[in-house]
Amino acid sequence: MTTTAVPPEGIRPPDGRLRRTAAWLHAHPGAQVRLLLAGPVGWMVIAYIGSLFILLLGAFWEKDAFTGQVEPFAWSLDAFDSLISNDVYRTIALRTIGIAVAVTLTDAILAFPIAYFMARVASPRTRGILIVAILLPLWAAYLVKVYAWRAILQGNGILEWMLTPFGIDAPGLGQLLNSWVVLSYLWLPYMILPIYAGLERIPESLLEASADLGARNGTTFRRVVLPIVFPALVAGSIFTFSLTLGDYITPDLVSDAKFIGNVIYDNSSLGNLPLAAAFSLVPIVIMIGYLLVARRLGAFESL
Amino acid sequence: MAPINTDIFENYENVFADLKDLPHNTVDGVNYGVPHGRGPNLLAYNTDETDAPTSWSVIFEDGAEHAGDISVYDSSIFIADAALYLKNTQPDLGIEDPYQLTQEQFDAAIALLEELDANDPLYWADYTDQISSYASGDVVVGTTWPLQVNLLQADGAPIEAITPEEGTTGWSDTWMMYSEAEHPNCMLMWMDHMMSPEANAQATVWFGEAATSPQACEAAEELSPGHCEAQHADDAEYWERIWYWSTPQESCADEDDATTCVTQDDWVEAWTNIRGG
Repeated sequence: MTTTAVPPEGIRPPDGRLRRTAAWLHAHPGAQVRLLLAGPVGWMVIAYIGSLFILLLGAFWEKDAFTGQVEPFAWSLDAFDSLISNDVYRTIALRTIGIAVAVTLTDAILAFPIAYFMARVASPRTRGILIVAILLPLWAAYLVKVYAWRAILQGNGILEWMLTPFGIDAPGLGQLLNSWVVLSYLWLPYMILPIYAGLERIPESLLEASADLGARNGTTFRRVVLPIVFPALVAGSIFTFSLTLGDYITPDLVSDAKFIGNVIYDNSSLGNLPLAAAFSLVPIVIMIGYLLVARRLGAFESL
Repeated sequence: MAPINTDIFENYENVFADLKDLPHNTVDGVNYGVPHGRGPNLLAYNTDETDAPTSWSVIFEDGAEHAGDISVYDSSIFIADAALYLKNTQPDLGIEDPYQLTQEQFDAAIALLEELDANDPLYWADYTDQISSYASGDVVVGTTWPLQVNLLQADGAPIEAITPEEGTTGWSDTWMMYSEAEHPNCMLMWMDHMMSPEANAQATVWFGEAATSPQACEAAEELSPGHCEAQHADDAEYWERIWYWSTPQESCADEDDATTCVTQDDWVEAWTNIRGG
């Protein structure tokens, strides 16, 4: 007597169409990958790049002087004209770039010793505590941290209370330097973490070899550690530089000096949308250039 | 925007007459919305630090006395405040409406604002930002909204605010409806609701602006005694000195083709020039 073995429900091979599809996919690995990525990449292109593209297109459109509405496909370079002909936009762009450079340098100088201590000196326990201490502020909302800095900087604030006994006047709010200090504080973790990761990757044996060959600590640092960790430093600088370049809330709250983002905001709410779009091209072009250089320096391998 | 037939509202007839049919929500006799509330931009000062001012001159003409301690609204619309001051102090300029300025009038307002900027004022964009500046004593005198004054006084800060003798700029809000709204009846019911005594009292007491009808004032009296008197809700004479925010237009918003005025874009750019340099 023979019985036909019937596989239990659930592990039965799929019937007709499903089976053919599965077999086809198996034979075409390229199609598999494409199907897998279609969703996320589609979202990226349409929702992410697409909206940016439409915004930038607005820079080349005219606007109605009364309603402020942009007239699509009414091509015009007026926005770029006003951007170039008025010196104030150059001043503001240079100010923003200057602070972005200053914040990046400050963070690099502050972050390096901390990252070095964490990666090469601290015990695992201390290292854990330090990592938590660096990550913890990232859990607090951005605005809370900026308002905390206002409490330090404003009149009757902590800074005034500390400086007055020495006969020094506190600078108060409204100083451009405040933006530099507060933005350096805000983005410091983004500089520490890549450098820490870069330093941790250096094998102990390289440092020993350097010492065996007679190099002093300074030489080892200059010729072994720094070249290896430099791409990580550049990787960190991408964050500190680009985040500063795009910020407009901190400059508004702790200082009186306008950044590129403030002009874009002012013009998108009340004024000239094409001008705002044209001005937003400035940080984008700067960042594209920055990223191209960063790639050359090997920063992308250190992210 | 959709035209609104105000006859269908139960609460519209109670609304103060001087809030109806204003140019910012009525075109050729057709209404495009209903009033929500109005208020002035006030001159606030710290009673511990300075005598009570009576005029905007305290920040414009005599700003140097309070250098570093002046609070100024960070928006191009503030140019109108300078223009209003010039309307009173320099009648030769012939300013009629502080929002519709010829190039000459506009340049005079900008020159006045540059003088103000030289006195190193602290600019505010966000009202919480301004509250903390007044509370901490960083600023002593400057422009504000009734909302900030309410909140500061509730905290016991030594802040008072006045409507200066020149009058002031202000706002008058309107509920409007999109012409292609999917559920227009819903919005019409909302408009009527927001004009009802209870809802209008609650909304205007919270924001610190003037209620829109005597009935709303009665309801407001229970929520916050003295609210309508403090906000001049039924004082038509008071509102004649308030210039509601409106859009600068090339046509000067009049029928006269002979004069052209500085447009909104140029206002924003001029403000960037003052603030950005």
